[in-house]
Amino acid sequence: MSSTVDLLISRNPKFNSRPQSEDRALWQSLRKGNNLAFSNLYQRYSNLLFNYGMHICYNRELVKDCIQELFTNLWNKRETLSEVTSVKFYLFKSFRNLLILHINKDRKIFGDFNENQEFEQSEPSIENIILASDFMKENEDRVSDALQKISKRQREILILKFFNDLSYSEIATIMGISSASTHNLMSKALQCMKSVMKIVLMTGFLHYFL
Amino acid sequence: MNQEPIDYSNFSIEDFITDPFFKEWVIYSDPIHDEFWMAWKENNPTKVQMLEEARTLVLGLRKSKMEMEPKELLSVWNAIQKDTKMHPNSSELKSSKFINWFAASVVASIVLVIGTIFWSIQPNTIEYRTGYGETKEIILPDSSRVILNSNSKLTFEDNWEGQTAREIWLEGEAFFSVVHKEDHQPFKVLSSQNVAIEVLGTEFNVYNRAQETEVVLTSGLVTLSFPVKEKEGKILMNPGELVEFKESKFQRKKVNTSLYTSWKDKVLHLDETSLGEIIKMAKNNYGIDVEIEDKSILAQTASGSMPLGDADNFMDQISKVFSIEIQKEKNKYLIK
Repeated sequence: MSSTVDLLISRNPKFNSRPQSEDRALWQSLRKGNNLAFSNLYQRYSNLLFNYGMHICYNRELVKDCIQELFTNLWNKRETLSEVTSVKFYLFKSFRNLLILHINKDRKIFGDFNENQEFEQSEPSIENIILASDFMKENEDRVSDALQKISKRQREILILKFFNDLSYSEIATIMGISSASTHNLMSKALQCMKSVMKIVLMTGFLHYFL
Repeated sequence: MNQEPIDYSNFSIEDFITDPFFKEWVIYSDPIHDEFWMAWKENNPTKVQMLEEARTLVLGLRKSKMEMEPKELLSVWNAIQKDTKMHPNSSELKSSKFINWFAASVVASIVLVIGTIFWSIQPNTIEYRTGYGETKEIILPDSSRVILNSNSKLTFEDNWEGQTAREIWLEGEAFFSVVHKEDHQPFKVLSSQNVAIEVLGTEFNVYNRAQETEVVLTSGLVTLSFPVKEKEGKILMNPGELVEFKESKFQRKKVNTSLYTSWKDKVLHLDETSLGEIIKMAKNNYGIDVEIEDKSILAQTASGSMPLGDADNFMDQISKVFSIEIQKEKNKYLIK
């Protein structure tokens, strides 16, 4: 069987991210009206978009509606779609535009609301965390909680980078900021995450050596 | 497609949390990854804390992932289908819309009738077995194709309508060519080591004998789930990969898939394949006994292809390829 060296040399750097060429082939089939390609794209991206959407706006129904609208538009406009270099980028950008549009519409109707409310309510207290015995598990929970503590834009960039592996220039276009700002935002996001998690990280770290 | 190993010494925390190899280690810790990262930590003592932070972040971020329930995934999809059928083209006339609606209602009533008929039929379990030296081509109820290798058994239910998944049980080895269904009904192959292979329209080979399961993916995408340390692990396989699951551990590597799937065309492709591996294969597929006097020759390798005939013919070719003398006594072959 394979030795250590084998695995290192042959490892696929795109593990977990589907090859762009495959996406583009699906895209071309979609433009020709192939509904299998269409359903395949839905299968590939619906949950990634859902995860992204839920981290922008914690409203399950709204996020699902936007996914529905995005794919419906995609099929209805299939003949007028142009070639794209990255299907993923196209979908994330279009999805975000739709989502922002709907959030603003809702705001006009229901007034301003804080979509972080649900997250903050479920925030466990620091004492609870220190008292907990299973450090590793608590560490994971702490990250989830920290993710809800950082700013919206910091959270958004983390999601785009970590789950979806988009490039900084793509993220800049999606979020409507400069390329330099994306780098700053990302390091700020990580700094904030680290400071929120600090206490637990230290205890977990000691635990690791004991 | 060989790649240089990545130099991780100048990696920042953000590089780590987006690096696939690092993530893979954090999520599916296995001996090969462990060995690499333990050595790396020893060589980069100042980076150990950062690595631990990155590890915590990966685990935590992964946990914050939000997904739709399968039910939601389907209902959104159904809504999309409904929307796209209702408005196939904005310029279309009202009358054609009406025809579409009419067609839809006809289809719906036919589906309903078929649905009722299926309800009344209880699924039966179907079993296929192959003897030594025999292969069999099987068409499944959804018209997916399976080629069952020698000494293997395939079980499934004859009616998959209304089931949550198309489920197949396999003992031995088989090559699958799976049809993607419009309703996304999953296709699952279950092996005796509790490894489940879940498929999105694809071609792959499953080997499940003794205590190991090996999956080779030719095209498409599959996810594998297997029990690791009392919990369930999941990995996404890419075409051209082999994943082996043995003694509760898995290994992944890039392979030339034709070496693993050529048997379905009654040809054996060898690529520096050792005599030991060939004999193991012959034992499994022909049910023969092989005895070797000089065990050192087992490491010898051969490359090329040879036709797959019966056991005598196979062993005859082996003796020529490796220039060894093989004697036959009843059902036992003696290699000198």
